[in-house]
Amino acid sequence: MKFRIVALLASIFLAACTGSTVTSVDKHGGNVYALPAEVVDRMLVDAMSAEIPKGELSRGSTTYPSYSGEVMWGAIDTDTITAAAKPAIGRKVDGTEVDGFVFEVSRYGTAPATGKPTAKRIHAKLQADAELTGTGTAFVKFK
Amino acid sequence: MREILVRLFLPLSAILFAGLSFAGPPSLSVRYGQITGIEVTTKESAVARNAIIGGVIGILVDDSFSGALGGATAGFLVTSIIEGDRRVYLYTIIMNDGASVAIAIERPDLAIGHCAALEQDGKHINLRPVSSVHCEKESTEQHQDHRLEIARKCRIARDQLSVGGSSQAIDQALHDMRAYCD
Repeated sequence: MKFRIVALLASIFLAACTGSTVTSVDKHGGNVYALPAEVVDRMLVDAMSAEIPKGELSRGSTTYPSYSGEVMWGAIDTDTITAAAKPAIGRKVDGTEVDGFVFEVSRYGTAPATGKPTAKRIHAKLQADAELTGTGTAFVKFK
Repeated sequence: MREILVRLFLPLSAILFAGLSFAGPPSLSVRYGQITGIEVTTKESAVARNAIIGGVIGILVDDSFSGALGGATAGFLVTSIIEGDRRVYLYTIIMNDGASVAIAIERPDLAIGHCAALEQDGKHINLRPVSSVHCEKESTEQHQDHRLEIARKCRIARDQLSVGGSSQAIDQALHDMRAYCD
């Protein structure tokens, strides 16, 4: 009986978990920003720390720059927000291909009411910074 | 022999040094005007209508075409290479000297009646809102110097970010970019 209750609670919890991603690249294309990895790393930290205290951020285990942190809704529900700069190839107007990064912010957890707008704000900040650098090129593919 | 080499080397190095010192970056200029029209359009349409293409899309185009925009060729290339259908805003500006300028740019935050600065940094063009004092009367030399200084700091910050560097240098460059390039 106890096992059944635990299994039921676990299944309800898992079913409540949702995820989504905000990205500047979709089927219509998008921008790859030709910036050094150390620069996009600092941009990620700046954007994330505007929403989540810097001390609560953890560096991702990916080979490319990424950071994660948690936001809460109520006392129990949490969302994990991950901001990443994925390596990609962009193309300038003359056809030259350049290495760069695409910014993606994803969320996963049981607090979409907090997580979704937070992810959107972080992505908007990253995108605004990236646009200001003036290094955008047309997306070709991920590396 | 060594003396001859030294005599030759010193003037040559002085000339080289002087050349490097005075080979400055592309010139910066700032003009002011009042927004009199706004139209939401696409890059392709703006290019076809020979508007000045500013901001990020302008940089994409200008880096490869030396600023020679307009006509079917540029329109075709922009359409075919910069994929996607991101909307741009086509602003009509009456400059302080009476000239009318159309500039397409991605920023949506300018309104009719706003005073705007049209900055040209080499081939790159930017449009940003400024105090209405710049449109009310002829800009003073101090005002002009102030705007040029801002544009110069923006360029230095971007140059730093394009090459990277220490955490401290990047943080400072990001700070300056947000302050001076927006």
